[in-house]
Amino acid sequence: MIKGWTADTFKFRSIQVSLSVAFLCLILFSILVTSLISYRLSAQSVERNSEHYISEIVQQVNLNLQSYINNMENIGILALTNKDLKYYIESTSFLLEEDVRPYEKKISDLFQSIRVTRKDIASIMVFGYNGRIVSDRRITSLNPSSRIEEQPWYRDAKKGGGRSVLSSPHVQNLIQNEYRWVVSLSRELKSADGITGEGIFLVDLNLSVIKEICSQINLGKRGYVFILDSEGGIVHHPQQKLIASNLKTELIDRVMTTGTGSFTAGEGGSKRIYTIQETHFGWKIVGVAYANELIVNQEQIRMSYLLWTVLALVIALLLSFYFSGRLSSPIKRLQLQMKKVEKGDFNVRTEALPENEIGQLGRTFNVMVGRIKELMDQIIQNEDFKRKSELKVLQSQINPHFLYNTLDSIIWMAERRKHEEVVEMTSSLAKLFRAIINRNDETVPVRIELEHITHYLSIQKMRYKDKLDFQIEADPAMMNYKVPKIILQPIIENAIYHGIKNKPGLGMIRIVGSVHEQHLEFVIADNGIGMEPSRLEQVLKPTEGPAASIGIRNVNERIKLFGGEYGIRIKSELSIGTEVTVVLPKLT
Amino acid sequence: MSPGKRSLTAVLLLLVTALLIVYGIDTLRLTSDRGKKIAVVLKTSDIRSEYWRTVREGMELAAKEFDIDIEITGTLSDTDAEGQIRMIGEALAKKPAALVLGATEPLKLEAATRDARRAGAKLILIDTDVPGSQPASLVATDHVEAGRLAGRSMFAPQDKETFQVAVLGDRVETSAQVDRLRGLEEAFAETPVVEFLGKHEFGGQEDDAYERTGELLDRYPALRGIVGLNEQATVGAAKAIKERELVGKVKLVSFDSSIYEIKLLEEGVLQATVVQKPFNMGYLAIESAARALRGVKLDPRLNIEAQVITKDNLYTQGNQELLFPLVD
Repeated sequence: MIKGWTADTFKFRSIQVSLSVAFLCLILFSILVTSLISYRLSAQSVERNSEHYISEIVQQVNLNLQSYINNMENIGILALTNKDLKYYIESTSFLLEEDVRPYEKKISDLFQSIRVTRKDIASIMVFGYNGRIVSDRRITSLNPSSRIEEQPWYRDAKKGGGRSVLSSPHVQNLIQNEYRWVVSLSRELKSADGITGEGIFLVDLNLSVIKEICSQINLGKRGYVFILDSEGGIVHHPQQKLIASNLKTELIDRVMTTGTGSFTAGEGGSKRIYTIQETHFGWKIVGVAYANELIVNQEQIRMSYLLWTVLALVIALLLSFYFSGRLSSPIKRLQLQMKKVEKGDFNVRTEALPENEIGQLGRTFNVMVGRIKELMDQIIQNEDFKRKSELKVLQSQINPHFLYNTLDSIIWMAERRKHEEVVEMTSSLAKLFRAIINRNDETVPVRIELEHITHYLSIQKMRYKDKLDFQIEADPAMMNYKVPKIILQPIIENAIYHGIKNKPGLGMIRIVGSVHEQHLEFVIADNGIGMEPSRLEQVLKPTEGPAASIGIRNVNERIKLFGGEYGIRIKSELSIGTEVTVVLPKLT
Repeated sequence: MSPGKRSLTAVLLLLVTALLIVYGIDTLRLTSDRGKKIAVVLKTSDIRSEYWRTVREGMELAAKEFDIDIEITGTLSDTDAEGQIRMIGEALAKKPAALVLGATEPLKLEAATRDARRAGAKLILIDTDVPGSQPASLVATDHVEAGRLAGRSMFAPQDKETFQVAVLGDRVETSAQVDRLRGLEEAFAETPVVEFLGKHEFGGQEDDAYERTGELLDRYPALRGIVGLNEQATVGAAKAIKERELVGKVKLVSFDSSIYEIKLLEEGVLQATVVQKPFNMGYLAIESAARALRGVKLDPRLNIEAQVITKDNLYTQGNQELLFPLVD
């Protein structure tokens, strides 16, 4: 099968294969194009959906952070409006040393009650410019090494002139033995006139709160959220430590130059979508998602597209084979019938043809074959007729000559009163004629044919007296085989008239009949004058032979009708004799 | 079979084969990385060890980023070699593609590392080398370099006056301590101003270090620098220096950071401390393992640089991260 496949595939010997291939190419092309387009479309829509999804998530982070920051600001406002606190840090107030402590306790209690309800708040403190410090703890033991005035949140708040300032994450080392990661919200507290600063108010938010918000976000396996402050410093990044030690880089510059919105970076497997959300407190929240993860089922989509395409192709293939088979089957049938005609069977007719061009072709074919058959029959009839008429001619040809000569001989013998010979000759003649006239059959048993020539030769022998003698040897087994009528007599006649008659001395004719495996054979040999090779050549030629050989030719043609392997062979040598071999079919 | 049917069968066969091949490749491709697991056995899983918790954090982040399954175990005590050998056996029973090991006692673990290699797992050592283990890579701090950094922070280029420096260490000689000492010696050899007095041993407790420092200060009046090889040495020495009101006169340099050492830095008693980057170590160990699994030939030694922390750079963004790991 493989051999056939490789050798014949691209030759398209069969119309069905050509049609199938054409169909297949067409279907393949259209299926591939549609699959490709729809795959791209669905991939795009998935990507769009995921972008939307990321921006919603980032928005959610923003809202969460917002609520924390708002809370811190609200605490700030609370402090700002607290009269005790105001009085406590006012530079103009005249608090006695012993009165300071109760004030401090009241404020501290307030802060503490706020802090207790809020796990996200690490500490609340106020630093008066008058040197008074109050925190949410009863006893505030400050870290002597921490230089408060140098800390960014302190300086920025002082510069901010009453606005809230949000710091970057840092380790707060204000309180002894406490080092906490916090984000600080600070603002300057103003005196009653609203211009003079009286102190700095500080709320620290545990950084872990922000980390928790961000780490809860699920942006695929490798996706993450990070937050930048207004200067581009990292507030939160899951790979913060790697970035700090330059093992990783983040596209901070690009994020900083892009406002709220999104961009993609990287190629192939590391293609990432950055979605940026600006917050009103100056931070930027960035969601990073890996494109190949977002389209979670990208692989599945591709796989199922592939599978469906292949399935569609298989079905298309089967259909194309079916349809091309249906189209080509009448042609195949027609071809089969034509092959039969080619082999000689003119009886074929194609049937059950479709009502289309192929049907018309078939019908035309039928008409054509019918016409050919008619013509063939006509030819056969004509030939038959011709043969029969030639035979009649042959028969009628012998009659007059022979009859005249024989009758002449009889008269001659009667004149000499040779009664016995007259009787014998007349009886032979009578028997001879009976054999010829007898029945209209074209074939006769070998026995009858041999009787016929025996009678004929007897008459001739009586006529030519000492000039002619004959001998007949036939295999008894051949007696019942049939042979065409009057086969041997024209040959013997030739032998007598052209061989022996002109020869001085006794002429001898030997007839030997034998049975062979496939055929019967008669050999008629005479010792007459023989023939020249040039004449011998012409004897059996159908048209140009001498008139005398009409009889031999006729015999030969009649035998040939049974098949090319049968017929007459002649060997002849001048003044030695002629030998005619007749090969005949074994008819029964 | 007619030619039509024959080619139909051929085409069908071809299609089915193609389908199978595509499916097979796809399945293989999808599952190729899935089966790969990395087993990690740490020196300790004690949550009080900030160092190893940070290593672990780095590992988990790397695992997420490279999309690899890791399973981290570790003995509770950082000296439980038998327990660690048992854990290595358990981890190897799960046929991991790679084993990352932070050895407890290097000398006892050689056989276990051989088992790992025999099990076909790529071996990555972290923090500590195991002699004779032939790992695919050793990811560790370069302690010689750390020692050099510590030594250089003892003197300034403009120093003219010669002064004496002593190293304070306990009797346990870990390879890290040997390397640090070598780095210190190399650094002191670079300058003519330092007269190195060598390593002086103390009992191991903070009080022993305190007493030994006192003795040294008495014996060597020109002693202007002390290097503490571990926390006990540093804290003990600091106590002695503070007591004798030599803050600012006798420089103190140490390795690693605890909250006490940070306070000493803030107070100005401690001039500098050289810290490791455990997060990077964990991250790079897993990254190396991931690369080894992809067939990349690894460097036999991956050095994690150390960082010098002084009072001035204590609260920079990067150093805050190193000194105050925010672990959940």
